[in-house]
Amino acid sequence: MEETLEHFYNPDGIAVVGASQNPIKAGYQVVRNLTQRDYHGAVYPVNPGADNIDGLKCYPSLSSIENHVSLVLITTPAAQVVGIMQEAADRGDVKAVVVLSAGFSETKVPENAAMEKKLLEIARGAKIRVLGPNCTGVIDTATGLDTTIEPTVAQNRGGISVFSQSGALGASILCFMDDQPTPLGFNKWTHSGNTCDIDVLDALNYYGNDPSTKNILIYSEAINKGREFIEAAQRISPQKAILVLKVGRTELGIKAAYSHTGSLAGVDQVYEAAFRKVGALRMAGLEDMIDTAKALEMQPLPKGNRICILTEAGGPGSMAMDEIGAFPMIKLAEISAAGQQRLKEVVPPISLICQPMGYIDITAAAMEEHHTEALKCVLAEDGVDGVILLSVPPTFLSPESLARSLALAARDSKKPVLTCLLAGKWVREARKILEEARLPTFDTADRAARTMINLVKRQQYLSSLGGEVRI
Amino acid sequence: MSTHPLIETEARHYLQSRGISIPEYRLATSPQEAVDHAKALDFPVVLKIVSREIVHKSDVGGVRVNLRTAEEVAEAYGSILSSVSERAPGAKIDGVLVARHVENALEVIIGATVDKQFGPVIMFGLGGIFVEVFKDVTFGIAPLSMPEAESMVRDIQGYPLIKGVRGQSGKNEPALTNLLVQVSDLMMKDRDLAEVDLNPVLVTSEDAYIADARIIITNRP
Repeated sequence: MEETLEHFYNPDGIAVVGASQNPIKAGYQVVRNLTQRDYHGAVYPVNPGADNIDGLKCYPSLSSIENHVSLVLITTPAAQVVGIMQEAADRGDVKAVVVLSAGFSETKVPENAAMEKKLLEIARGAKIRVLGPNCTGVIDTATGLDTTIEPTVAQNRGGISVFSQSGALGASILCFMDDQPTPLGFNKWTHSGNTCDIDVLDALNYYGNDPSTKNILIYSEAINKGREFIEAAQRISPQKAILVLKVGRTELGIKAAYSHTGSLAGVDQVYEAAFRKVGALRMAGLEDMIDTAKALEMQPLPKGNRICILTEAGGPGSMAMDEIGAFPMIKLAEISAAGQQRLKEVVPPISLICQPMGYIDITAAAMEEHHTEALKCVLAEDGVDGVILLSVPPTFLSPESLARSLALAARDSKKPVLTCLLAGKWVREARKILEEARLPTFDTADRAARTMINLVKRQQYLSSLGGEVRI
Repeated sequence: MSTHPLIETEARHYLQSRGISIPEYRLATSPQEAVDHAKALDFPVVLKIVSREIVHKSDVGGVRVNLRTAEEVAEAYGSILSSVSERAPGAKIDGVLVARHVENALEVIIGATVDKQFGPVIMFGLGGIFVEVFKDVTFGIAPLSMPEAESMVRDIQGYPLIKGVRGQSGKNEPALTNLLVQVSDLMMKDRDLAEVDLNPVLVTSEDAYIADARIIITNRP
């Protein structure tokens, strides 16, 4: 069997069986996504009743395509899929099939589940790898390949690759990434649906070996080959962060996952233990996942666990402190006496410096230069491994100008700086400026803090390996 | 493939034969024999019923602890047998196990099972109500490294009880960690082990003692 997903991402000829001229059908959207965007490879729509789709020559059958086809996308009704799989197997050149059609094992109807088994049997016999059924396939921003019917998400390029067992969640991840103040790019995206063949393990192995994938996001309802997953993740985790959103924390979640894709999840605490063992970061939700992915993309990891909270407002500062306080692995930074003295000279006189140690409230009296000088000051401290910077710019402070100065102040820092400008629309443009300068911004102070906790967890995992910390 | 449980004496023997230290114990089949064993082992002792048909020994009055004299031992022997014959009538009795009573100990649980997805997994928790009510347990995937076992111990909510609170001396954490690693190694090596339940393990400032062991073996065809 083909070991990798290569033919899904770099196909030599794509056939779309079930291609349609009807814009409300998946068979039309798939062809459109392949032809109207950046993909330049050969696409062959198959539909016995049409001459062309969107100007593209249409073939009566899969076997009538005389050119090479290595990837087949199937969008026909479920009942036809087994026959099409046989046709694909008979061609001899097909290496990969995406079954977009639904109506298989997820229906819990024995006859439908039997069809899924049958199509897999044919595929295995012909050394064809299958994605799905009941899935949307893959997106690759490097080639522009998009086999999906997902809302046309922007193909911003980046180092994050995504695997999702759920299409809707997988698409939401991309939409959220696109929706950041500065769109967060991605590299590859895979959706496995019923997961009859290609699963989270295949994706993990592929992304692990893929030089353009820097970090890996996974949404999964069950991991069936647990031991192999652990071995793969142990190999990959030292080089690439693995962020996992795994449902099934509660009985109800487990039941819903089963009803969704037929996944049988096991004991959640065992999953938790497995993720901990391999240094995979378990995400509390989508926000946590996007926040952490963004920080990993934009910032270095902290070298240690000593975090400084630099805030212009007490409330948000306290929220961040509350988060940090829940994780004994995090320590508040130690600011030297000289550092405290220097701070005193550069911030407003009513500021609270190191009360408690590592927590600095420069108050609403703080102007732009107070923010930047204080930031430079704490970044220069040996006892500081990372900084959470919080500010609610008042009317007399231009958020954009503040953002530009902060970007400048943090520019050469080897320590992570996570920022939260907390003033809704008033800071939208400023957040964009910060993120364009690769300073990630977060919606709330506690989210910035949770993200810092995730960075520290990652750093602690890497240092437990005894190797160099990857930046 | 079927499974079968070992009785306590078999389970103890099994662990011993694989290099896991078990406090000394003896099997008595008469009150006098129990007293002789108690004298040889030194007081105080515990007495426990041994029967393949009795899994939850305490529930049938099959356990007596902290017996300090020959008289107490003889009395306990009789009361265990009569209680068991009343609450588990017809159960075949192999005898009564005599072991040293461990004082000033904290009860913890070490469990191991084979997870369908992840294979051998190890569980650790504080005994008694901590595990039953608070579900204060941690899991680790075998094979456990020493640091992994250490964090399993440190990550439970009740960890201060192990570390020592309010002037109490701390328990022997390395002995506990070591035992976790030993159980993990055992699960990796003996693939016919379906379940190990060391409950309780008694941890003192000196050592960690396995006070009861339940083992389930898979019989392969």
